[in-house]
Amino acid sequence: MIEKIREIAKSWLDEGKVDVIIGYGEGTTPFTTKPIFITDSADVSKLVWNPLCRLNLAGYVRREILSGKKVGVIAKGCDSRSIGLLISEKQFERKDVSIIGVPCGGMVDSKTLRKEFGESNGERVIADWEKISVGDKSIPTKEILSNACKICRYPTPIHYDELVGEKIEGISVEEHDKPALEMLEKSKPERWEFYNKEFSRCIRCYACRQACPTCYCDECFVDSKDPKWMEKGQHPTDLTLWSLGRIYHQIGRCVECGSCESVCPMDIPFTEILAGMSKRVRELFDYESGIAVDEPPPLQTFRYDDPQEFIM
Amino acid sequence: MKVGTKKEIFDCLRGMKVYAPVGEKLRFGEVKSSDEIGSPESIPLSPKEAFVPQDETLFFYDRPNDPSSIKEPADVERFAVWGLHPCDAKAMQLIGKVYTEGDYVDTYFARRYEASVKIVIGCPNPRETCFCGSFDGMGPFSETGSDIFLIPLDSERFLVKGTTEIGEKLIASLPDATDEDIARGEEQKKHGEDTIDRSVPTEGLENTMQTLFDNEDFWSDLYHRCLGCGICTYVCPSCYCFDIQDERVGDKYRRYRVWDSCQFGLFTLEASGHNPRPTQKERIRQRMMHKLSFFKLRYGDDQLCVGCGRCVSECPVGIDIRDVAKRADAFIKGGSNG
Repeated sequence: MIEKIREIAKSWLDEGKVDVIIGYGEGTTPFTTKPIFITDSADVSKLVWNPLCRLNLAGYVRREILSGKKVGVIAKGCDSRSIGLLISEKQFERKDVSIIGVPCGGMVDSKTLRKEFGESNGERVIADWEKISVGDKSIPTKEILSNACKICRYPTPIHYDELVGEKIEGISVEEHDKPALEMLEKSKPERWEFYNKEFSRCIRCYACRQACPTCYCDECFVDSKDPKWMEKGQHPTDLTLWSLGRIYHQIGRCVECGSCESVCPMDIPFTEILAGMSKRVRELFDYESGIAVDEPPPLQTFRYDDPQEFIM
Repeated sequence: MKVGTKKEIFDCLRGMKVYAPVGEKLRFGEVKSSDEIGSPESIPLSPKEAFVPQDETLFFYDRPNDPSSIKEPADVERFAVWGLHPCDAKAMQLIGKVYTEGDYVDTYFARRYEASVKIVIGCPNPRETCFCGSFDGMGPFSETGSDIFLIPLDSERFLVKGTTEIGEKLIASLPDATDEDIARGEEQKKHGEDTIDRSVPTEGLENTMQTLFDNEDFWSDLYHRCLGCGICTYVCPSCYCFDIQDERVGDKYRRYRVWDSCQFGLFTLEASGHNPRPTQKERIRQRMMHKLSFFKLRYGDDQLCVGCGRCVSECPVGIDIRDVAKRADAFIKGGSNG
């Protein structure tokens, strides 16, 4: 599969169809890949494709397009939905980006692997769609997928110019909603306590925001000094306000790629809450973000027949 | 040389607050018993926060514009920090150069540093991302900056050495180490010294980096993928930048400082709206230059990077300061191609 990806990348660069291909290359530490930007077709051999290609690349796509480049990108289901969402929010047009769509078997967080395997100690690391192994120890990839990938509805890209590999079916709505329903079964005070506890670990590095393709405000509410919506310190109220505030800004926009959770150094779980939000938006507005590029997210528009349950 | 278990050493610290890695919090915090002490490797953050808290009150005041209403925070009493590694102890000394040398002394840092008993654990098994041995005079068993130095003998016991007068007094009641313990300690030390990565070229690096300041080819790879989050600076034991804010608490006010990061756009945004570091290119370059060049040129002797490898293992997009140093070296030796 990687040969086909490289071949398309090379031809697009050679033809001048794109100025840059954004994809994944080998990382310098075990269990990691890193985003790479290829401008010379001789470098396409640096591209890799495996279950460690975790980060959503759509944020880079937006930035590179806005800097005036013709952009090509390797996109999983979630990356393609983020691109779709950004187009629906008029950040750029569909013609500005060329997409090598790759159906995704699910990604694994490198920090999970570090916990699972410890150090590689120079032993051979294998990370493919069957298994992740270090020396003799091996775990089936399916069993250690990141939380967001376990409930992925769209592993196959929605938007693409070329699709590489066989389509992969996503899980059903019912399966997707399970973790969110489990969370909703708890009482409100229990949920409040749970999230306050989790958010209290936040160190305000803002990696969740920086990794999120949908967080692209020129000035984030947390950075605003006038008005100053919140304090900068470690008071639990401010930590909860930050995390919840960021999440609220994602209503009807989040594609559940799981990048925020995977980059968080403090292991804050965002998946259930974001999945619950998507469930609610789907039920209220019959909308899933990033699918239709010509339909704005529900909170950015209105219809006379909106349910308006919260008012009535 | 003494010998003791975690609990026995903890008991020597009776009467003091003890800060140590807390697994559940993923950071350093106060512990009440030795059972709560986690492994420094199990948390992403360094012990820096015991000396430079992420959120530190500078003073309280009752009324704005009324200096007579200012109240200082409580004095810092003697406390212990368990679980620095030699790199961290070194980093605290380097922060001390910035905060306490010269015309102005940061009393907040100075009094914490003075009041602290630093319990440093040597590293028989350095992590894959560790490279302290690449810096002059440093290594996984360097005792610099410690009061008590521990060498792990097995999963339970440590060889314990008082490296300052205070440290020696505290551990005086522990039993003496046997010849066998000392021999085992030497083995552990040898293993660490033999394993630590010494391959990162650091000699003359401060000058090499200067010549690369404007080299687009050199920085391009880094800044395109840098997300601009603050992980590297917050997990770093030697990053010391802060922001100062005022907040209202009930009917009183608090002036406090919090960690800040050169990776944030807001860090250099001026009141006029001008930003001298407008993009991630200038920001990631600033961090690398500060760690591998500016500090040594300004203060002499040491690089500000201590080789703990935390930024390497925590960066979500694989930015690797070891690689930056290696590429810089190769750029100079091999022309512009690296």
